[in-house]
Amino acid sequence: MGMIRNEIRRLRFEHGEMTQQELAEKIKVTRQTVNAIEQGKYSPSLEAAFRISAVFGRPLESVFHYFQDE
Amino acid sequence: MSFREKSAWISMLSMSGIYGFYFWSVVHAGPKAGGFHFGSLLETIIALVVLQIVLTIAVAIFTPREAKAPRDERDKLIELRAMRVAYAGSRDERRARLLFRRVRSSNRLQHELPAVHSGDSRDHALRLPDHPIPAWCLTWV
Repeated sequence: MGMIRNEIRRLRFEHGEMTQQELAEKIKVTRQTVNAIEQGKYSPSLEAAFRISAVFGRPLESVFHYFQDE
Repeated sequence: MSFREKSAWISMLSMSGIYGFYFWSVVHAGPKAGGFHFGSLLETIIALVVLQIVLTIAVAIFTPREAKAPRDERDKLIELRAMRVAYAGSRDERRARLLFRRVRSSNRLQHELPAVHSGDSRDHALRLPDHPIPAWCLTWV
């Protein structure tokens, strides 16, 4: 199984210290879901991942990284 | 903790508490109390519904924004998993009940039928029809 990591936490702080709640409202999920995504406990749907990268104005692959186990 | 998580905890704890008290009182009363009482079960269900409504409203008052938020993709996924677990539980419970019924009926026939007929009880017991336990019951066990 691979592993998905993300840069959401760093990007939030780079975007005016955006809170999890603010990001959650922008991508139409709950704050708990944003927290779970940030901690790598939940992999978002493709649609949510695109919404997140759109909020930060970054391409998808610079927000999410996929690491494959050897 | 999200509103839905709080709501799920309210459901679980209130059901455990109220049904726990109900079944404890039924068992404690013993068979002499007359067995099943529809009235007390109805009272239990009404108490459960009222308690859940009151507690859920109380939580919604304290976290109105979360309570109004629609379910997101993760909530739906959790709900689907919960449904699957609940359905698996009910399926296993049904299998266990069927298995128990078969074993019980098999035991009853072996003990009761010889007493009805005269003669060698062991002989009757041996001639009883077989009650095979289905393969799916054995796989469940």
